[in-house]
Amino acid sequence: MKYLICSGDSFTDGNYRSQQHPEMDTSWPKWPELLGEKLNMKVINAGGSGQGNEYIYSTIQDVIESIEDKSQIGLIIAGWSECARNDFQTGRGKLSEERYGWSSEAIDRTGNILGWVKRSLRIFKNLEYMCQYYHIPYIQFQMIPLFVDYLKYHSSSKFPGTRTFQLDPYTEYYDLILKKIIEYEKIVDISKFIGWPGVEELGGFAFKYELLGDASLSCIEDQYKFGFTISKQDGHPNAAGQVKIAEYLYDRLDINVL
Amino acid sequence: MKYLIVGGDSFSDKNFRSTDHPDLDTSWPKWPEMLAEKLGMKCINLAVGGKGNEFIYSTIQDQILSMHNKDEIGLVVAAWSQAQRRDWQLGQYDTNDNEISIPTRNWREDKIDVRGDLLYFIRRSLRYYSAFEILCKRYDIPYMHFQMIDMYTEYLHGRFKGQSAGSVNCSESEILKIIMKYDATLDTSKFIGWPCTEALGGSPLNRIVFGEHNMNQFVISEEDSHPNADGQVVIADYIYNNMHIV
Repeated sequence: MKYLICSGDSFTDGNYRSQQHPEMDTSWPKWPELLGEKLNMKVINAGGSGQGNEYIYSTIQDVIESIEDKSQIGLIIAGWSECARNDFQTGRGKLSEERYGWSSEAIDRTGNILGWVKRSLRIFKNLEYMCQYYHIPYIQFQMIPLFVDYLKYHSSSKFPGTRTFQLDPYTEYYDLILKKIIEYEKIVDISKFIGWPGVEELGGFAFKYELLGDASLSCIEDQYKFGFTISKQDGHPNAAGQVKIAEYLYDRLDINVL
Repeated sequence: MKYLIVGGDSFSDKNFRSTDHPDLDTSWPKWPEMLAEKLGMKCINLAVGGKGNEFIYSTIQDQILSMHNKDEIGLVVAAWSQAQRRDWQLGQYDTNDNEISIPTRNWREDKIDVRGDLLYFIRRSLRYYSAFEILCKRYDIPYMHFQMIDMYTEYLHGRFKGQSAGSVNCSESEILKIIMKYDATLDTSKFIGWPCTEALGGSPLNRIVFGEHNMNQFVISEEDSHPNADGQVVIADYIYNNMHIV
């Protein structure tokens, strides 16, 4: 039985707990486990709540490098997160341990949104290089928006680092970010990137809105009516949402190459 | 004529200026340019003083990706720096919305990353070393790499200016274990001085080339251990004489 290796943020985390509903039992199966069952693969789910794209790439890299016989790896899936997050490791965490010593800041204290987008695009490309080099089947996608939510909720200069809900994605950076992403269209193998470029204005999407709700609806409360998120306060996928993500991915996999 | 692409820190920086001797004329030729001349290649020297390993990897990746015809790349060299440095980029655009991609202008660094600990800094660097190798192999580009200066020893022993107490929190044996794991991952034949630390029988390149006893001959002064003109020459000669590993 081959390995299915997945990494991502809270939407992928096998041990996800709701901050808004700390008493809620959130132990329903998550999409990596559901997909692994459909594909008859052993699942290594490295998803970690709050983590960013350095974490997602690094955990996949570490797992791949720890498996001597790369032909035992059936599929790699990266469900990318927000670009503003800054990941780092402390302590002696072992690969087999949950979270592996990783933590994150929701907003990197250094750099700016343009630099963070570039960092993430390099990481997406690094995943592609690694999987191609080891001849491992892979897919990647934007699980939650790369930068739009940051611009909507985090970027107010009056309230740096806080969620202000001032819906103003059209900052001076917006068009420049799109330009940078379009440049990567020639570089990234977009046939392996579901929903490329992950931005609705460019014809792509993030799973958070495409599968679980609607990108035109800005607040968690509105998304809840679709029935795939936990509550009006918590926009993470509920049990039905996790099933939907797993089925969506399964339908788009070319089983013949696995 | 093919390109030689070099990523690195102050030891490789074409525009290096000495902070200890600000009036010193340091415009002597640097090893990347000298090596390119010996190899009959055009030099693209991406190195900038003070930068760390994310910068080195990222600038090399950006450069390779920007070149349509990868066959034009004759050799890529990564001259790795200290593990505790943290680099970040300020995406910047000019008034016509054209990206400013000059590494000296849009990259910044902390000499010591305030997030994470030494074990993480080591792991992060080793991940970049592995990613660099995969990048070059993916495009069949000849490459070599080496630890230009000490990776972690000064930091481990708390000798780093501005280093906070307790930021190490590990023993050298734990670090060595992490490095040795990469013995099986990296193509160590392409890594001069691997395993990049003297504790495991390897060495950073500056120690290999300058030696313990003759070091003063090749560095700027007792205060500034960057290579002087002779130091740059011996680095270029040493790398050239090791071209058989590529």
